[in-house]
Amino acid sequence: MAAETGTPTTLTLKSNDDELFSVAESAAILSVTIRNMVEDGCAGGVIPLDNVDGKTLASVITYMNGISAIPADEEKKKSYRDKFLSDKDFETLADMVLAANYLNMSCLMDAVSAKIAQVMEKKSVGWVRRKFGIENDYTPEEEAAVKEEHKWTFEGVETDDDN
Amino acid sequence: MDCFARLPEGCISEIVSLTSALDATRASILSKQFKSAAECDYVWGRFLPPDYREIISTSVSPLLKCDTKKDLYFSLCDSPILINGAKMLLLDKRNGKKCFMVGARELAISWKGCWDFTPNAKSRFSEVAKLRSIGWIRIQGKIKTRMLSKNTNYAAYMVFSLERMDGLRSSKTV
Repeated sequence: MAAETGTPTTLTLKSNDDELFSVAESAAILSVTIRNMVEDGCAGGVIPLDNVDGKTLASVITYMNGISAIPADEEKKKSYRDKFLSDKDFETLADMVLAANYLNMSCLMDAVSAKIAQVMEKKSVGWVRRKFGIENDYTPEEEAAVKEEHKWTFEGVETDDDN
Repeated sequence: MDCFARLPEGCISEIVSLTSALDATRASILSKQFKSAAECDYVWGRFLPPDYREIISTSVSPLLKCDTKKDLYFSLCDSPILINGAKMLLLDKRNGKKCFMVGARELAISWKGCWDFTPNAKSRFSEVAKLRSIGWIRIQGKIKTRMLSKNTNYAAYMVFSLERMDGLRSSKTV
């Protein structure tokens, strides 16, 4: 480890429900949104993040700290991401997609999107609707038409139950 | 609660683009929001082979006009295109992997004098090789591996039709 040259810069982030979080600048700038604020000199005081709540921001900061502590080793970063996301329910994952989108954090966005995509793969329409609580807003006629148009996709569906 | 309803369309497209063509097509049936997100060019650009522009530029068959990348994808699945010489390419609908057919003219066939090259209505190619009579045959086909889809197990099949079978006995080697 290189000797520290002075105190590392710390930023204060504020969630939309007024929780304050301290985070090392080196970890926080994984967010392009925050990095731009830092580069523009707007990060002196408290950085308000109007689209992220405290619970989600705490989780994002855990991720920022965890991933930035790992040196450039893609394997280790991947296994950290897998472990970090393994215990998150879908509600939380959806919050993280929104946060990653707002914060412009591609590594988190990619990981969370891949995790959700993995759950959807090779599943039936009914299973995915139930799993994610997706509201079917088609009329019966519209649904029949869209099913007819995509008839070939009903072959080889892996599962139609909740397991 | 529908968590996806909170997500912007671009985020849903990103998620769908990380599944497969089969899953993305099925996603269109989930809801109107999914249909819109799952049919955009961003999603289908990911399912087309990375070198699809190059493939199309070497195609000698007229390509149907496609307004969207989804249309182009299914056009390449349903109507094989003829590329550089006597090869046909089509995509496997479920996963977008490239499948090739090598025409008789591109095969290395021993005893060429014993074969006639003639049109055949059953073939996609303009000519097939028709065997007159021969004691043994040896046919080789070659394809550049860089043309194939990555991380894919390929199988090779020989497509032929038997019109007369006189003298044909089972071969010890295939």
